[in-house]
Amino acid sequence: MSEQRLHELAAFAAQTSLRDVPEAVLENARRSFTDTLACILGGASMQPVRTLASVLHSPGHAARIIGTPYRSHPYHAAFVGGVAGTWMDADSGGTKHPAGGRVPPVPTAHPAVHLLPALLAAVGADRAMGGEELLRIYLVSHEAGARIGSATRLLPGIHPHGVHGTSSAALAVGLARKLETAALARSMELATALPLVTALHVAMSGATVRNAYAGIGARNGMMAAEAATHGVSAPGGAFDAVLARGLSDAIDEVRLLARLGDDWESSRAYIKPHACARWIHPALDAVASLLPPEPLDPESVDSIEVRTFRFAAMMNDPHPATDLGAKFSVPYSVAALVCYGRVELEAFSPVAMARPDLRRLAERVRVLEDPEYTAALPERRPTTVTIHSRDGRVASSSVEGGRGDPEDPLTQEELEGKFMRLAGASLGAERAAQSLQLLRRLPELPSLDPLLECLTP
Amino acid sequence: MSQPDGGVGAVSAVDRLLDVLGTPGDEERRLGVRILKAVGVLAASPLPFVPAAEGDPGGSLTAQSVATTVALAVRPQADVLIVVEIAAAALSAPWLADDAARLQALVAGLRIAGRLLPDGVLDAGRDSGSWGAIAGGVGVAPRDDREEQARIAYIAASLTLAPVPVADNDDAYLAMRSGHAAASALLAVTLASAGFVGDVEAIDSVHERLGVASESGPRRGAVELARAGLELLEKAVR
Repeated sequence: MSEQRLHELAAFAAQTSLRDVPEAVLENARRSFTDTLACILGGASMQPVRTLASVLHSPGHAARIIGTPYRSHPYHAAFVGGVAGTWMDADSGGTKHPAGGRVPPVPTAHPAVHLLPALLAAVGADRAMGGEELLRIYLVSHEAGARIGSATRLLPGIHPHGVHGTSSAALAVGLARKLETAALARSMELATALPLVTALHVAMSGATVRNAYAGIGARNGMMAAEAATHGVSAPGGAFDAVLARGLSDAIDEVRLLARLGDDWESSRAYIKPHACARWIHPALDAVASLLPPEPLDPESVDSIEVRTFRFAAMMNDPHPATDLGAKFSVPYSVAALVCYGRVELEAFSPVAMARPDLRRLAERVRVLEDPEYTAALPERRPTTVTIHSRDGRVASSSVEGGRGDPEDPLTQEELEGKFMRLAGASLGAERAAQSLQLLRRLPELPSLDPLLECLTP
Repeated sequence: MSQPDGGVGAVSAVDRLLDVLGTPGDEERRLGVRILKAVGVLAASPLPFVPAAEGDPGGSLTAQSVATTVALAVRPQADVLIVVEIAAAALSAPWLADDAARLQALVAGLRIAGRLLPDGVLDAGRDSGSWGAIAGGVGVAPRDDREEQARIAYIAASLTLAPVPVADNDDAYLAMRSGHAAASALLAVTLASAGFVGDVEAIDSVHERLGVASESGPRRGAVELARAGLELLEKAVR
């Protein structure tokens, strides 16, 4: 049964041409590709990722570690790419949990940040592939991963990193290697049978090993595609064992396979405007609507009250120990937005983490659960923010959800601005601009060489 | 920012685990030498789908190649997979300069595994791909740096695979799980050295997930584990 379902997904992926894809879906794929690449490049500028890449550097290998001057075995390139892509917590994900009922509203899947590092590592030495095929593989692999994520219900406390994105990575690598449909399906099931058990609390506690999960998923996906070409298979029924009875407790057949090619789950993914946990975004959007154009003196703020839904309200630690912990802290993220005007690169730097005024303001951020807001989940994520200034002014703003959802997408200017800032951090502004120019005409690129060349500083 | 036990938070679950480390006994040495020799022989012809180990800083590709190849050669049985995973890590860590250091790493890993593993019959689809990552990682960790050992244990425990039911003909898949464990052992060392912080609940989480009580004392000695693995390894060599 599971083999047949994966065979259908693999056949769809192998046979879909970009000419069959509606323009709006294609445009979403281009935006998603650009955004995911931005996240990898931004993460590659982070010191632990740079250290990891330098340790794994092996000049005899062809695969580039994106965003760094280093090369390594493709497995390592995929691994570091996945680590980099999640480091900033700026990467995209599925929006709504299946059937609308499961809380907490963990994203349904993060396939993009698993598959793109593996795909780029796999095509590094492929001189024949052009931009159209790269984008096609990205789109159909993303769609397969988004559907698997949407069709499954992860157990409470389990996070998608390292779980079903691994099969997207396997599919992408298999497509890049032009595997036949049966081998693609075998790759996907084998990858599904190599799942990490990634607990949500790890990220919330600030344990940065969380950032390795998608990297391992990308690596294992790549490895699964390689093994499948040599006839290795997963145990029979592994897909169900993992996703219907293991880490997830159900598979929705309709969401998995219905209207393939007509209905695109991947187009329902969000693109993050802020580099932190998605649940915090409504609070940040509300704060942003109240701030002046320039960063505010945090000492001018007496207190900030955030009224939100339960799972955002749980992220109320005003003293996060690591940058990852800070990305899962409403008080820190709100204070960082006030101090920097943007919750992105600077906001979680060692300098920011050590800023006494930012830390003091975080202590003055009160986070409260509003039961009515919790009841609105998962369709809406209402949040109200009230800022009390020292001069007695009070300003309040309410939002119904986070920007970046399909209903409220980032503008092209915002998306490309995010790319320029994140890519610029690892490549420098000039190379980032060159990369963006190439990405704008990705489907027309006859060769990937210029783009891949641009993605190293 | 990180606590002295190498993770985030105040829990120190790893302490009772690291207490078993120490100087190898004579029998542990004798068995360990034979295990390393047998694994080295069986790893001489890598499988076609394992990564080529040339240019492998950190050693994780080599560990993956060795563990996958050897695990398949012994027709994966749970008793031997854990031993293979630990031995592959010990043989592949580039910073272990000589046979004595590799032997020390193997015995340390076996002792840790003896502490981690469940009582009773092992299950290949459950017990491969998990315990070996933790035990192998601690085994190759710096000998006199308890904080680093703990950090590596927590990271490795976070990279373990979920159990998957297997049948008699799933040898290649099981070998891949062992390859993952051995690679993860060395990746954990690399990640720790790059400053990554582990999850202090990870070891208890693995125990809970795999249905093993985490608070009981050592369940198997390194010698018992080594003997079980060695018998199958030397049979495969013959």
